Amino acid sequence: MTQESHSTATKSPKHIIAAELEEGLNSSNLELPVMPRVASKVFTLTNDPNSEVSDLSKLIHSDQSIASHVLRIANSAAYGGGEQIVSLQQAVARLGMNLLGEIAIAVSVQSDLFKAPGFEAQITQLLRHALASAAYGKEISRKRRRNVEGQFLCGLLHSVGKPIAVQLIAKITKEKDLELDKKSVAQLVGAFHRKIAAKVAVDWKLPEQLQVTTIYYKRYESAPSFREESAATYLSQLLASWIINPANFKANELIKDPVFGFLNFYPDDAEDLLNKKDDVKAMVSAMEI
Amino acid sequence: MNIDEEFDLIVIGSGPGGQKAAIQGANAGLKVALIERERKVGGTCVHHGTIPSKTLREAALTITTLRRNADVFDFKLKDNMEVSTLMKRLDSVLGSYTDFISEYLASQGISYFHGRASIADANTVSLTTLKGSSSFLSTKYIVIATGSKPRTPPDIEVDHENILDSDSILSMIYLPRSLTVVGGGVIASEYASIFSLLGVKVTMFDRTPRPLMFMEPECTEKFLNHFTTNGSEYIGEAKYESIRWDSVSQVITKLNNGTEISSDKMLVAQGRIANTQGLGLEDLGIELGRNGTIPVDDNYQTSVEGVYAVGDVIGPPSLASVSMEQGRRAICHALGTDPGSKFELVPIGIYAVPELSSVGLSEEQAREKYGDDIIIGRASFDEVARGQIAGIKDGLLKMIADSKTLKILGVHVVAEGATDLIHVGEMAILNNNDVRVFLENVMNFPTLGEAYRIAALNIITKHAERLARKPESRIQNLIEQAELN
Repeated sequence: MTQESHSTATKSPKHIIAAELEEGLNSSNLELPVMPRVASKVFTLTNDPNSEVSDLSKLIHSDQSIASHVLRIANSAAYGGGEQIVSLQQAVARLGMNLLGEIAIAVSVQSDLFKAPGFEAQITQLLRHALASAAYGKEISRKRRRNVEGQFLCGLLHSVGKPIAVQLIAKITKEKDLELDKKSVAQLVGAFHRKIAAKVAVDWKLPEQLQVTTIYYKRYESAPSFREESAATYLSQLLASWIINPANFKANELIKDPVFGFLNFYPDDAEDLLNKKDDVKAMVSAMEI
Repeated sequence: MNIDEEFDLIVIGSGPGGQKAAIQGANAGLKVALIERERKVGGTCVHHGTIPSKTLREAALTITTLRRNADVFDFKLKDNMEVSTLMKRLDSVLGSYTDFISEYLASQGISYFHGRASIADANTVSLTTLKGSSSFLSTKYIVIATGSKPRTPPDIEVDHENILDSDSILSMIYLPRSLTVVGGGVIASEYASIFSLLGVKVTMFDRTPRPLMFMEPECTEKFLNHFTTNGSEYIGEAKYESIRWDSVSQVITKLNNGTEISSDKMLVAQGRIANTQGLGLEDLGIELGRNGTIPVDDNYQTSVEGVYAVGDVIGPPSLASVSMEQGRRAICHALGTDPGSKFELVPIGIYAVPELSSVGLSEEQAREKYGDDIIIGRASFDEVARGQIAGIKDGLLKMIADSKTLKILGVHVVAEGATDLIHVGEMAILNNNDVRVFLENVMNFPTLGEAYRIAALNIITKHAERLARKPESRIQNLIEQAELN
């Protein structure tokens, strides 16, 4: 028996996976997923001043899965304008380039990126939370009279480290033929998702605002820049948790979170935000695959 | 109602006017409370207006300098430039500035409260904190300095995503390809010229024939030349018939002259409205004016004795410099002390690209007051050595003098550095100097200040030409004076 296999035999599966993840992150050998092809292209197109709507439309046409989801979302209650949408051109006209870009990124992140056999339920839950954070982020920005585009992506990608952590855990579990209970998975995700997110944010060349908010949203007061955007991201994920698991929160307790004060939301502002929950839920159920 | 704390003076709002009123009161021995609704002191000027836009402006100028010296620096602006990259210094600028103000207010013994104020009566202010708890503060005097916010016309839907106002425009992630600016005032001109300099195709339109109508036409002409050189456009005497997001990628604007403008984003700069909501002014019996402004008398006192209002909340000129002076004067009046003679000379500074600045009489005002007994001197910055060195060649300094006494009546500058340069002219006017002050004293060389010497020399030459001419008929005189000017 080699020394390595001996130590593997004596450590718990959780510790083995933790050591693998730690080693991978420290040595930069961890195989992180690349940004989904379509999401990456959409990201580039929506931020390229020289791109045209037709470029985005063509790109969406090229991906059957995304095209079908875009059509479904365009016809959903949240976005529908009464008339049935049957073509992508119509969808583009109804939703607009920015929103279409957001939908395409949201859909491709959900469909392409995170394949973790055996962990599907966790991944689905995490992505639903990310979508809800994105939708709430827009409402928070609007309330603050700030540009709303960026906050959607901050919300969507703030927890990108979590599904990637689940995916990596699933991979190591399979490779090493280990068994891991749900609690251990949650502990490992909690321990590693921020470090993973930090690395992914740089690897995916996300705009600086997204890099900072992804890493610092929970410690928004110590963010080196984009402090208010980080706080808005923290609040968006908090409100997302509330609408997904309302039983875990009391609304009157929720609005006591210091982040409301940090963003200078008075009680009536906070109430206004909480009252947006149905709009946010509608947007999430429309965008969810 | 139980009073929780007693003060002599309560100032609502911590922008330039509020700060000055609070400090003036504290220096006079009053027990002062300063209430601010936002998290940090400074008001719109610091957090959403003057300082953020100037930070972006400085970045735009730096880029221009690098572009001009592209062969030296091998410089090319990234295609997908993040706006935040251009505003890198903003956090540190704001941090330093607000820390300084906070420390200074504390050092003056001013009690600072973070919360919303509502005036219960002329001597009582209720304070509601972020957490919703309320308290009542009593006072002898109240100064309202709550500032203003962008006005949104009812027929334009500002969504802060595609159609923005001056609060949300600086939080865009990326620079748009094109921008339509609705308005021709200070905010519109500043942002239009800054974004134009950054390579954005800007179309600005307004009902006035030229932007910045209150500035000297020769100066705005220079400004427009610069603006259009960058590929942007000003459409004058135009009103919008409709503005809508096309639900695809463009904001579509239809003008009453038949023009249709299509752009990635729109900035709506249609004036500002006073922040008076929630102050309880109606119950106090104060009737609001246009755009929610608070009417005041010459001493900045409202219709309620002991309640004053200063700064943007009382309407134009909405300049930080003027707001401060208004705050000082309000306190002087409250305490019955002499504020000194009323300021008549207020310099105007516009931080467009290039800067425009003005003090004293315009040519039109001077002609109204002095008839044709004025002489105008001009200095083009391509004649100024420092202008050549610094690449500031398209500037102009226009000086207006009384032709009998040669006293300086007004100075108008368009060029980088104009907002600083104007103070030289302001001091000369305040001291009743005539134009020879710039010829008979030593000034640093090479500096942009040399423009004063050139303009003064231009006036002296024209003056000498006038004196050398024989008396002519009045009509002939008028023709020649017009030619000389």
